[in-house]
Amino acid sequence: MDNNQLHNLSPLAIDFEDFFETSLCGFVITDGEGKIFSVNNRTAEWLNSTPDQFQGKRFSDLLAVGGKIYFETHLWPLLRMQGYFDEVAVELANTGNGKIPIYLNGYERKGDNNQPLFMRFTLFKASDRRLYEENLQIAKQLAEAKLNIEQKNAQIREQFIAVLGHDLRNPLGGIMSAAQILARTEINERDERLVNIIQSGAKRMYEMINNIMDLARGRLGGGIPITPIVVELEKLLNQISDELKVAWPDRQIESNFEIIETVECDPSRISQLISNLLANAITHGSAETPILFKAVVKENLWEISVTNNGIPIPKEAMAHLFHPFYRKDERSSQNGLGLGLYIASEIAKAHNGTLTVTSDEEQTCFTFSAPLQLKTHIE
Amino acid sequence: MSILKRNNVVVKGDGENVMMFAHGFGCDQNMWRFIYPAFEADYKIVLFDHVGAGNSDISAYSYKKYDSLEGYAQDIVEIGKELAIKNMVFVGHSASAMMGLIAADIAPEMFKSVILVSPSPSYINDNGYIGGFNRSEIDELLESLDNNHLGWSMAMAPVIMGNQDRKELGDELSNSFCKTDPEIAKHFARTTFLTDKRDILELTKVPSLILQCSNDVIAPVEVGHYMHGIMQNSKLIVMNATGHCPNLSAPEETIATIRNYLHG
Repeated sequence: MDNNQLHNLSPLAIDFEDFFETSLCGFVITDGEGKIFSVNNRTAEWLNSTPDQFQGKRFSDLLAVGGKIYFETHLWPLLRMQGYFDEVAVELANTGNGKIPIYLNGYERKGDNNQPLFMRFTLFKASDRRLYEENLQIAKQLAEAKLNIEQKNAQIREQFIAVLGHDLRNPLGGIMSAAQILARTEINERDERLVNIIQSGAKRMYEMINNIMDLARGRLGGGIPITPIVVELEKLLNQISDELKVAWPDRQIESNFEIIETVECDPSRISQLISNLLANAITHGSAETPILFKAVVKENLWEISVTNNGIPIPKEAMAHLFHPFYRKDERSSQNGLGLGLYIASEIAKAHNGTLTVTSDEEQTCFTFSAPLQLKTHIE
Repeated sequence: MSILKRNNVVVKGDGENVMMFAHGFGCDQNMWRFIYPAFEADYKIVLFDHVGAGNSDISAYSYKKYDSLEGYAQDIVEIGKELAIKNMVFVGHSASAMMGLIAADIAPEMFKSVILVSPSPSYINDNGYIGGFNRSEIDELLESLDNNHLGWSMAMAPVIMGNQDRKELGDELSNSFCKTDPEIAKHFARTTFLTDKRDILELTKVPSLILQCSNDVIAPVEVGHYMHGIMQNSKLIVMNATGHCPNLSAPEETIATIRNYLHG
């Protein structure tokens, strides 16, 4: 339409004609079978052509071959079945301007007899958008590759820890037996003191190595393995608290067991868990008040809790408490490797149970809870 | 997982004779929504989704099995056995037309006749054979699927929505009738468009009707003539319908043509 023709039209008609032809998006109208009626100037311009060149062609002829096949096999069927499709990314055929990426929307207009009258398509140029999407995809791939490498590294590190722990045990075993033999021989007081130092140091080291091995099992395999048997719980718990009372004779542990039933568990692992909780309560809790050591059976659960008074666990520490290598003070080695609570929670998990904590100004309480009937999937 | 569940098999009506409809690359059994009702009075209708499409069991998808049309043909035979089908009329669209011919070769007793809607034994031009595409064009299609250019929104919409309790939003965005896992769609496209099954045509004995559309960019009319020229007991009808899916663009003409053939 030239300017002379434009002058003869009413303002509304000019506006509409102009809107159709030169909008920033492409408009294409086809018949019910996909044969082109009308293509606006904008679309023709993108395709380096004029609107009349498209008369009678199929809509898919406007698209690059990928989109062309996709249109005929997916999009056009969608129009007939669903009546519309939205925001599909395709490319225009390369007719001199390159394959311009577009977003395509289409809908089908049906007549009174439910037959398609015509189909309308709206084309949005999407070069920048496509670039952005491609960058997103590349970023995603890079992040995935990086994560993959990190995970492999972490696995290698953990395997290393497992092997190291295992190999350290043999020479340590030698040291421990030698110290034991020395302790049994007649030696002077000074040497006896030295043997004691060797023995207690070796014992600490032995425990740390065991913890490291448990960590590696927890991280690498399917968790800490347990061998459950039927256990008289009260007897087991008394044993544990007695042992700790011997080690810390000036601290009070108040036991309150409401156990009637026997439970199925791995006694040495449960001892490890409970004595860890009690030792923590002794080391971190207030020395003035006794530690409450409770055990109850509730419906299908057995629950053991250790409660102490004293300074509450800081809020920011709560989230990491059960993570491996977490220590209150990273510079201090006084608390060992920081694996105790991690291993305790892994032991709870291995019993299909949980280890939880609450802590406020009044008291800090760790609770282990597990089902009485261990599920069959535990070997 | 039963075979009927795996392929989301839907059986309608209880006529003695069976008419099975198989969809091609693209959508699912919904493709036949305008066609099968016309035959429901005379036939027991069997509809299904190929594994990977529609409401089939996606977990049954095997990249090895479905690397060839034979894998799909095997499923058609299995469905036929499960439903104790004998002497059926098989209607296959696009890639499924060739699957039907392969299945008829494996289990001839199951097939009375096959109706091939917009079929093509090979999509790539080769030495005088007109398949419709150059190898480079098919490579371009596969490449655009690899780069995830096509259907980007279809694949991404559910992820972006990520809203399990308002699943309908995801469905709405992902154009639910053609929902396909993008990886599976890619593989199906590869299997479909790189297959050359021209060699089975001359061995085919089952009576067949070839329905070709005028102006189909996927399977040009020359392909129909080529097939008709080689296949015994075949009949070719070039319809007025255009495009690749006459079952959707011209259901009346498609129904009438099939009916004429079956009654003729």
